[in-house]
Amino acid sequence: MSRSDLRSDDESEAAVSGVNDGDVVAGELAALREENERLRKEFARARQSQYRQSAATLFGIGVLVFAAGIVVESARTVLFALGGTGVFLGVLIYFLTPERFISASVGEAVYASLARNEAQVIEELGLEDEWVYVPRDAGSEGSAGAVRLFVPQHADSEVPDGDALDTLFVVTDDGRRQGVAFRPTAAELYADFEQAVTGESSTELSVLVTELRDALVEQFELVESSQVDIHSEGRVVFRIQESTMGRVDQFDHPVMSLLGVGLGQAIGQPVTVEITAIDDVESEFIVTCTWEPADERAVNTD
Amino acid sequence: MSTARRQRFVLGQAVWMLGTLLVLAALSALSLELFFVCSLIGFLVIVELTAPFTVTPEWRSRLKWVVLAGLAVFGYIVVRRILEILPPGLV
Repeated sequence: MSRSDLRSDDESEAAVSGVNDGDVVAGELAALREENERLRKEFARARQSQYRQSAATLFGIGVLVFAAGIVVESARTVLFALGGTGVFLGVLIYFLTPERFISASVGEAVYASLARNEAQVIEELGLEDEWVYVPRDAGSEGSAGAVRLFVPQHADSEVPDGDALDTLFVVTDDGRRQGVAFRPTAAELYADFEQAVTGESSTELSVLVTELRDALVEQFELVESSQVDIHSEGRVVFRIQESTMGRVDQFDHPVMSLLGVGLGQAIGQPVTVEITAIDDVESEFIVTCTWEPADERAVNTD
Repeated sequence: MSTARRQRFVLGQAVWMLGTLLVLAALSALSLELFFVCSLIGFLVIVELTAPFTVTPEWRSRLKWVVLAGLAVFGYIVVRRILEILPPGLV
């Protein structure tokens, strides 16, 4: 019996027994999630075995050529060198094969659905089109969970204080501090970034932005290339080319999220992130990160 | 997740090793020791040229074991050569 048959059976039973449509949708959602998870695992296994097969093939060819070198005396050196090359490359591929692998398209598909849900929440609540990454004290979740993405309700809003950002829907007495606070997409990525960075993650802006750019390009390979420009104290502009996870201007895209979380965490100030598309072919974007510089902050505080 | 850079890295090493083999064969200077040393030099150059400045992805940190193994073999070759050069009976 196919999945569609099962589904139609379920639907008819629900109609007959008067079960709420929401339950049917929830059941289908759970089934789809399970199916999605199974496909992801299968795909990862297939890709991993593909790499392992390449490694084994090269290794096998190397051994064969090596054996041929023992037999053919006149070309022994060349055959030994060729055999050694094959064996070495086989070992190298095996050694560098990722333990876990999902393709960019799978990651993008999963992220796109989540981003669409969050964007819909924001749209239906009538919130502003403004994304602020707010650093907080590292609690039990460590630095990875120490930054929240705050989407304010009003244009002239202020970032809420205290534990208000712990909840998804930020409701305070002061209307200017209301909105929605999400755990950023790149919260876990930032933890990985902290481990991969050479030495300590820098708090010096010029070094930090280079680290973040390298993490995007070299560590996570989320973008093909990126340039960074520090316009002034309180404004950094990244030029992003060839994102592997679709358009960067989607809600809390991993690229902008990592930049927002990384800068927010290092500077200790709320960082507002804006995305501008350079062209319409999903290949080039400008990510502008702004925050209140220390001197202006001191004046405002006074 | 990331694989494109690993693929590029392995491809670069393959091209270097096959190119070295061709050049040494064309110059009639092919010996296994020389081929190994040239390949090791190429490997170290590729590792350095492709290394990011500020972050070290996990797969790159595993390369150090390959480098160490290569240097160990290189050390063996050097010691063997030195022993060949030394007058007999000295060691």
